[in-house]
Amino acid sequence: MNKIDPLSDFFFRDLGLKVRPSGADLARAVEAVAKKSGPQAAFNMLLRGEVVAGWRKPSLALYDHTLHLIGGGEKYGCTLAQALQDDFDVTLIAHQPVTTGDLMQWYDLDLSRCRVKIMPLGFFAGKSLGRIDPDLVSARTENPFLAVSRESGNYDFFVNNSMLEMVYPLANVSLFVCHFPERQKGAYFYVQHYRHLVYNSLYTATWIEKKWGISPRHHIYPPVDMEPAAGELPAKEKIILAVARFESGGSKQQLEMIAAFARLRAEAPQALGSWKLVLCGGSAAGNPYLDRIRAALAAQPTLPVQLQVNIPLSALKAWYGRAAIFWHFCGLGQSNPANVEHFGMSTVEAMQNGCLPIVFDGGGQREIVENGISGFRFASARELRAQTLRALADPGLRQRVGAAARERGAHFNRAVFAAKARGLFRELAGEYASGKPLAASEKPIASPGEPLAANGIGGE
Amino acid sequence: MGATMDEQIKNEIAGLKETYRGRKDAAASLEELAGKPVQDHFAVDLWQLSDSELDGEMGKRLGFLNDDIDCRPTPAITSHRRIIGPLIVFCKKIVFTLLRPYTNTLFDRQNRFNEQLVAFHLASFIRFRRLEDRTRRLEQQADELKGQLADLAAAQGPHTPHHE
Repeated sequence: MNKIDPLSDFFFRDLGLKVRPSGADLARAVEAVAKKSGPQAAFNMLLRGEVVAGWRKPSLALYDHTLHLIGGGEKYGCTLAQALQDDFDVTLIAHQPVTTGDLMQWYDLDLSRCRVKIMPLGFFAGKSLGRIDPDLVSARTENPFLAVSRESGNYDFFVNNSMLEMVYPLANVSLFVCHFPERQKGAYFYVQHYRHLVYNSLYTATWIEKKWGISPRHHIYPPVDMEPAAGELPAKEKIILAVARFESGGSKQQLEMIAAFARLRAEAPQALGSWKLVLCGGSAAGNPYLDRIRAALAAQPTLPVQLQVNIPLSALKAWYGRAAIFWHFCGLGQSNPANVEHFGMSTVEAMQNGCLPIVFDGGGQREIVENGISGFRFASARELRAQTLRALADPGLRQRVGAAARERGAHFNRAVFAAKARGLFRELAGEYASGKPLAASEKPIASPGEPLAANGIGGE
Repeated sequence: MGATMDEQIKNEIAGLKETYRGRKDAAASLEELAGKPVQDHFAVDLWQLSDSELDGEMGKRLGFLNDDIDCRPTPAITSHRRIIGPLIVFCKKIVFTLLRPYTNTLFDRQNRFNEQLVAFHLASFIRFRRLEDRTRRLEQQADELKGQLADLAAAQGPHTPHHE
């Protein structure tokens, strides 16, 4: 008599078998699944069977429609791919040309065991300068992302790192990584069909629940790796640093920073002394907001403000090392929750370099900066001025809070991210390979009215 | 023996995979792939949107209205019936041609109305935007003044007599 092995148990669990069935039985069982739940379900059953039998490691596709561009969300996905490439057979799905070599260079990662698959989408050709713009898709159009859905069904695991809720997941195990629920539930909204939802901050989780009515379960903060090597931190100089993209809509509020700095100098010229403001960030060519900043600076030529646009990483690291204070205004005076910092990677980068952060009291910043301990949070321009003047006047405070900030910043580094990601995916892979029914994600998050565990790493 | 059986079932699974890969690739719709009805659209709850989200929604919907100004029916007339199809198409074409002078009058009038309506909405949208900007600037000024008043009050100290 043949012993019932895990594979037979997986395919024929409901039959209560005593002997291993034949190949014909297998074909009949799979066809029964196809008849009941469609050809994808039958294919998925066969895929999982191979992993249950231990013939191969699970395959995983990580999808990002802007993988070809450098960004924080894309870095999140690539760092995830690096952390998982030993346990999974990882494929990165993109729409426009990009190589693993590009990604490795941009984010200083090892993706040597990953491959990239490029899937051009004809729908966007000739529209919006060829950019993959989800806003062009509506109930009146076809869903161009159906092609990605179909592709997702060729893998054991599918991770949507794109915030593109129009991709219906067809893989056995699907995860939606949400950096913020930017769009409303509307045309081709499929997030509720993902088995797991991963969020990057408690702020994001709150808005996922408010906007989409879904309680996400898995919390992994973004990886931030701007920590200087031991003993490398240079002496701090009288520099207030701000690092943020020069968004064409001005959501990072660099103009407001210039105005606040000018006002501080006018109100407290002695306290400001030789302090200068340095604005670093990336920008696309022909950015009207950057033009407005340049015009504002040209109108105040004596104001010690330095503009650093699209500088290399080494230069950025040097500014972080030299700056004593870090400003972050994103969210001040905003009514749209999407315009408030969802997490705040640059704040963590500054903290990892011992800068004293003075940041807007909202969004993900509350989870990073412990007010009065590892930095200061302000709710108004007035509070910002008061906190800045206090920090300028007290070198001891800058040193003390800067040291606490450095310690706090270490909680968000790449090693912490990788450990958390591996933990989650190993748990899911173990469940998958066991052949047992897959559990759904159901654990609720803190409701919007409850205080958030702002100082915790991981919201579970 | 076990290894041979494993090899056999491995090959069977590989063969079945190819079969079902072909069947899923041939599936015409998401419903067919998912094996169940899939809700594609959700009505946007406009009351839940923030000001700037509403702004985007208004712009998007105005764009849709603009795209639909011309409400004349598309001219292609087809039939799926193999034998009498051409006859049906021919008859429909004649009827449409005969009615065109009357329908054109109606559709032209409707198109003009649609154009005016979209233009009116756009003008209202621009006006609304300007008013909003003005309100925002006034709010900022009010906040600044409040801050200055608080600074002045603090500078005057606790001994300053208060006016009733």
